[in-house]
Amino acid sequence: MIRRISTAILLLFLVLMVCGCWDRREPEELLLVDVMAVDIVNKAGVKYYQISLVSSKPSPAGSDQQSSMESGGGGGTAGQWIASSQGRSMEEAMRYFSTRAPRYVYLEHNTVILIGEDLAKAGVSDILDFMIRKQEVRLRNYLVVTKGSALALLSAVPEYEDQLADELHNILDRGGRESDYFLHTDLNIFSQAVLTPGIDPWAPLLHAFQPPETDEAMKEKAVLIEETALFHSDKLVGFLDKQETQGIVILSGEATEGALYANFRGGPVAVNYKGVNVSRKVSQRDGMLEASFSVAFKGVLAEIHAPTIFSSQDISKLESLLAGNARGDLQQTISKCQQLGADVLGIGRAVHIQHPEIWKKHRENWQEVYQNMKISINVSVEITGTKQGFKSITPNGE
Amino acid sequence: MENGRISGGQLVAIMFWTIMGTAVITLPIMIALHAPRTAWMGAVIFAVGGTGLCLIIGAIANMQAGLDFVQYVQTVFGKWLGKLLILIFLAWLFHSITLVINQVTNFTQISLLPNTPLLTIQLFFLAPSIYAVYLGLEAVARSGQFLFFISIGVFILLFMLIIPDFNSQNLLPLFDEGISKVLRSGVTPLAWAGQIMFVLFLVPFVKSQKKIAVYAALTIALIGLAGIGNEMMYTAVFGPLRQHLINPFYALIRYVQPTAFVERYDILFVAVNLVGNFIKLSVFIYVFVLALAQVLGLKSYRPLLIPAAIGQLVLVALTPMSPPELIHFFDTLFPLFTIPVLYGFPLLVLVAGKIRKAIIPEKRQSPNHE
Repeated sequence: MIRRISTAILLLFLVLMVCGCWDRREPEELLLVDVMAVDIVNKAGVKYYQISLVSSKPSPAGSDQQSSMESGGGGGTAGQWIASSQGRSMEEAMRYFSTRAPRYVYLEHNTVILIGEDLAKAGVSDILDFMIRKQEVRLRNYLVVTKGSALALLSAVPEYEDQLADELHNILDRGGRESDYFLHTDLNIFSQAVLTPGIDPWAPLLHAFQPPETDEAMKEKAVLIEETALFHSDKLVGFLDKQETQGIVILSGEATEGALYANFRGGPVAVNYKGVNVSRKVSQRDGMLEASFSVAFKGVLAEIHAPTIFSSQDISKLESLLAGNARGDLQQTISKCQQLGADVLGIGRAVHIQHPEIWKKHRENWQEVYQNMKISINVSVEITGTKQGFKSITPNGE
Repeated sequence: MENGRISGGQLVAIMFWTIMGTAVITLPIMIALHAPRTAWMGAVIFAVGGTGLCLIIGAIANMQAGLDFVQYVQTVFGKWLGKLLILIFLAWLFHSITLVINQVTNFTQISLLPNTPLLTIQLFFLAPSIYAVYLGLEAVARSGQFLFFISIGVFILLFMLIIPDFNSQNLLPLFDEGISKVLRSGVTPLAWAGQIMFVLFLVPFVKSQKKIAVYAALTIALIGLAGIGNEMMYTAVFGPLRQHLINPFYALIRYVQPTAFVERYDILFVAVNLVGNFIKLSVFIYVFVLALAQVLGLKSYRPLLIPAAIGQLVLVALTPMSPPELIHFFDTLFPLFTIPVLYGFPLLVLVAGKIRKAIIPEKRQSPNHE
């Protein structure tokens, strides 16, 4: 009997547990942050961190049906909540949100962190430290630098998605798979590059722009990733344009798909490459460090605006021309990185891995060594097909 | 005292989590403090030390001749010296249980339940273990056996999901930190491996006692392999950032790329943490109350369970340790007294047992002749 009673009491005790725990927060009490933006502002000579949050407002009950009826089946769009807060530390700035946010600020679902240009120039290790300590922030968050203030960019409107947060996330998530004009980074990858001697971080640079398709009188701006922000250690030191970014993506071995261009027999020719084989080697000659990259493209002809002759010699000539052009572009990209002192390709790490003894000598003055070292690039291009077409379309079929 | 009998497989399952339960939470931090890039060597040192201890365990088990470990120690060293040695071990064990509770509850609070009072988390971790121990070794072993396969499945799933983020360059150059730091990184794991000596207390309840050393070595090999895999993963995925993370295992799970089917895998950490440490606490508490009851000459260990649990909670409350304090303690003081207890004590018993065997005729070695 006593056994039965004690079992019943235990079961009742379990029922009590079903209602939850100390840390329970009902979904309707949460302010689900989608994008976080961090800037630095000066107020009377004192540095303040400015954190801005973007959250999708939940649609009121029945609003979908209502708006659907009003707009004749167009569907309703929920609004956004954008708010910013300033503090002498980021923790303080976050805490100040409690005076404004009607719900618990919840960062578990945040996917994008924007860093203002001024903050990036001043150094980002403070915010990395804060983000990594913050229990709710995931290391998978995309890290993006903004041209100008990050808060100002939040007033941009999405061109396709309902919410700016979705637009940003989807550009970062899917855009990178379609071309090599930008490469996304996240809190983990970026922090590793800040912490590792011999490699510097980079991040996509986000612009607000006036879409050429819209009326100039309209003040609303859209967003696009236009350049790449280069860092030395944790400080922003310069930018690469789209062409140069493609070079970095290729040389870092992360290339997915892109186009090579050449002018052949008076007309432009484009080759669509998919995947690139890259190998790099560092060596020491006469006490001077040298690095060499071997880049092998394989692709198919995607566009020909010249009379087509598919002899082996023609193809070889075209391959050499494309390789020469690509080599020039890649060399220019590396020269710019060297000028800026940003070792985003991790040549220092390559020295460290391949020649630990040499690395020990140069570790302390690596930036100087990097900026003055010879970096050579060998490029080969192999054309493997012509896609669905064969002969090019030319007037009178010549 | 204990009527249950467990199989070799069950012994491996419970001992796996007895060591791995907190190892998966704490050791990555300890190892990374000294050798983040060559962290996997910490697991190799663990395996080497643990295997050495398994040989000692096997040799002692062969000499026990039907006696439990407490009786055997008293036979070898004499009643009072034997009791004293066992009590020293029990003092270590009692303190270690508080450390286990501290680790598990601290990391649970930091990672999952920041607003829940620590005492509540402690109670919820302790209660199932106490109940399992109350039911006996067989209950602990059967739970361990069942949960072992689930948790191993979780590990394998996690490894497969994180493979796309595996950057092998982060593991190079090998031994970058220097051999002395690599060896230093293995000191705390070595102390952890010492927990395999708990097997000595379970010898009389294992069905095939002649294979004790094999079971113990198999446990160490499995943990060593899992440890090498885990450490490589942490370094390959997080590089030098792993030194800055309070819980690399949890961070790894949270870093898994969301898929269209499953967006969050955080629950895997809860599963492994709960399952592993339920077994760990159960075995720790079981060995403590069993050995104490044997020393005191009690017929059952069960009356000791609740007082021991209350004592644990009191000691945890009296010696609170924040995670940084705990990490510092495990890195510095803990191996200094743990390695002598867990390795030195069995070695002493083995040497004394061998000497005794050599000088005293076989027929006089039964405890009845004391």
